Amino acid sequence: MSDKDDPTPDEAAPYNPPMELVYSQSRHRQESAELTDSDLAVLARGGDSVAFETLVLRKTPAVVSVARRIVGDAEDARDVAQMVFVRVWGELHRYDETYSFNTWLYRIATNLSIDFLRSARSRARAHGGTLHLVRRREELSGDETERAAEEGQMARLFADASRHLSAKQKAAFVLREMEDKDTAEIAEILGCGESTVRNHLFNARRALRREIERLYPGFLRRRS
Amino acid sequence: MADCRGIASRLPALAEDSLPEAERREIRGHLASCAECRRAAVESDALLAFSRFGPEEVSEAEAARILDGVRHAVSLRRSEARLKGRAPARSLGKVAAAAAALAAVLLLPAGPRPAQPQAPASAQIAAPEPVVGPIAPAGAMPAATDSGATVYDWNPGGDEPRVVWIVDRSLDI
Repeated sequence: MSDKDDPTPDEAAPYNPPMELVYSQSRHRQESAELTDSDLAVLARGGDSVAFETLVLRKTPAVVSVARRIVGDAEDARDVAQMVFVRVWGELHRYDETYSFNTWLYRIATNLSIDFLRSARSRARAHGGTLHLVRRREELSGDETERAAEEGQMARLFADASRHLSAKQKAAFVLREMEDKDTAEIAEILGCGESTVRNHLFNARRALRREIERLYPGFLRRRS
Repeated sequence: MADCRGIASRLPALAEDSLPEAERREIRGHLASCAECRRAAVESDALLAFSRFGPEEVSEAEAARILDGVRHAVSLRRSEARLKGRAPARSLGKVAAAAAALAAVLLLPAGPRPAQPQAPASAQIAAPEPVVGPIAPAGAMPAATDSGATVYDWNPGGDEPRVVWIVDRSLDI
């Protein structure tokens, strides 16, 4: 081989520019997981679907929980939760990040649950309660663990006892006793005054005690 | 964190929701981790059976199912929004075209126009006949273009769906 054919040192060195990671969805997900709810909402509003999905996964337990307590059925609660997140996606441009994202989310979740409950009640009236019986049969035939069965039993007890509460009374009770919200936040979520919330809670407790006494006389132990 | 001794005496006030918020949180925190006191609470007032003292658990499978449903619904909404977004643009185009035509009519000088030189008959290019042959789709409204192509438009001037089929005989092989 002649000298002419030998590559120069520059030619021999492979072109190996420093590589830079431009975008990684898994890294983006990790970074999103560290952001606050409000930050994620702002990013989602700008079209960041990873941020939106992070928000959905983070808030699913809370939304399912409040929906399940208000609508009284696990399957319905999942449907409501999906509607809530789709509504959130559609309304993100209205979210003011100077306010609590949780309160805003609970407002949407509670309103949709109340709407669902009202329409379910009218459906139940139209079908003479058959729908409720069918659903209950489906729930009982499910593969429930012992704890889920216990929780399910309590949920059914609450569903029975709360049937005569107004939707707002029920929502106020759920937010206070099950979601541990204070009166001021419940007022903001329900869009009413704190005194109205206290009235809803007072009437809800009275009606629930009355219904438990009527439906399950052995369950309620009178205090001395 | 409160211990069991101070709980029992405050359970009635907890049930009546008459405790200060901090004290209420403290007792609920204790009840979340103490099964014995939870039993005592329910015996004190059945309504406390409905209180949830810990976070709701949602399985990963359930969360994934909900996320999947949300993705699907959002995707549909986006498609709907895109379709809706096109309609106004098209209407705007129609309005602009109409305005331009109106402006041309109004701005053109009125009165007799000077006679235009007549081109010899042989030089006149006849407007191409719309090609309405066996390939013309049923229900389509044909319109000839300057290039001789024929455009079939389903639902002309109407809303979605708008389907256009262009037949250009000059490209025939």
